[in-house]
Amino acid sequence: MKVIAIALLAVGCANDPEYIPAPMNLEGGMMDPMTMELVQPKGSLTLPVKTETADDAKTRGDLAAKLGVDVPYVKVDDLQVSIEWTIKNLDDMPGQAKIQLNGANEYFAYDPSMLDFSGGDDEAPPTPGLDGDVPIDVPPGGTVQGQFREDQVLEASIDLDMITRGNINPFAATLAVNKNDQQFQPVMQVMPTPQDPDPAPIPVGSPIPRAAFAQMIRLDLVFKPTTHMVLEYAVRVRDIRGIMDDMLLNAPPAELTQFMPADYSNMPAAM
Amino acid sequence: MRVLSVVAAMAIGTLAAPAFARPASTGWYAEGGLGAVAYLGKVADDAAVGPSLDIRVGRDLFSWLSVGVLVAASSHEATLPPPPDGQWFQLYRGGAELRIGGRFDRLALFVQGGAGAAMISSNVLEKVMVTDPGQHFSIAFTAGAGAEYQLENRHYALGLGADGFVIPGFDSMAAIDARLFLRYTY
Repeated sequence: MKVIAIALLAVGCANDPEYIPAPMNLEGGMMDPMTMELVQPKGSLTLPVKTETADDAKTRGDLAAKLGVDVPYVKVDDLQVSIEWTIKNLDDMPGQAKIQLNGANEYFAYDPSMLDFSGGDDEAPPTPGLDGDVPIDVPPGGTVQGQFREDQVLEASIDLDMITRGNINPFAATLAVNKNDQQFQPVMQVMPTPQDPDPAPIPVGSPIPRAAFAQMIRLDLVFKPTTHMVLEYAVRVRDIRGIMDDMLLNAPPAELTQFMPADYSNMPAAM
Repeated sequence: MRVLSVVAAMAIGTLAAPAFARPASTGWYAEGGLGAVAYLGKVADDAAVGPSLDIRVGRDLFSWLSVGVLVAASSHEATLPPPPDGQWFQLYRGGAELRIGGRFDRLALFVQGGAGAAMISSNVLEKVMVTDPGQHFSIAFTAGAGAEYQLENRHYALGLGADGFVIPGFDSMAAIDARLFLRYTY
């Protein structure tokens, strides 16, 4: 039996996908009686990554010493992540919905609703999410399916690292395609002002190479429907490096890395 | 009258001739089959019919009894309620089999049964509780029947087979694996 199992394992691919269902569905689009605004629920899912082994920690330390920058435990090419979603319109009216993708790597969490890059300009657009926010038409009683593809989540991971560790403006990071970048240059954080709405970035520190790009380990979705809708989603992960726990979210907490990313803040540098 | 006598004699001679048994090798054999696996019961709602590949190697112990090993793989679209949608998974099976059969001239019939293990490539069916968290392996049982047509070359035969298999660890997943195969006997 064991021999057969090993033979079958050899046949199977090491990076076959695993599916992690969302902890809960997101239901929104109803009027909140307190705020008189439409409910826009948020959902969050942290990937079940095993605790780091001593060998992995040593390898990471050696790489950090060689590169001269912090190297995260979970890097962008360790996992290929996509998010499959289904929206159900529970209303008898056609509606629209947007899904905004945000998240956290092991260093920082990015929540654009807590960030202000307007520079005091009342007409400035809100701080962007990492991906999504595309209007989706949902017919009455209908269902629409879609996904954030692997390359979109990869792009979002790199944008998140560029914004948080690199202090690159979120608009610049999210509007450019960075998924094939081999490095980025951190800059000094400078707040735009009405007098200087587009301050020139000032490079600081060493460039961060791709080998040290941090992968998103927490996926945050903001669901913005215009009518009563439910968003159901599942995360699909191809574990290239073999760092996910086999039991996924059912794994004992002691076997999982407890990531504690700091909330990213765009406190301006004194200029 | 003479002509009729000759024709009658030829007809009797033809009918009385002994049946010519087409020669077929026995001994070590290898089989390769292509076909399809279709799930039965509840799992049929969550996994579509998919192509399969079977490879068998064995030994004829007697003209009527063989033992062998099997490895098989099939690929299926998961048709469970989304999300996820349009995802595929692979089912790998392996095990040992016992085959009993008989030959009738160029046609041979057999029944077979065996046990082994199965592996599913992903946890996509966990949502519908076919697999448990972290589970990828289970024991598997198989039973089936088939027919072989012996070709002119005594080493080769073409055949049709169908196996039913049950995988108790995957919520008693049951399926039919139907295949067209080529057998080579050394």
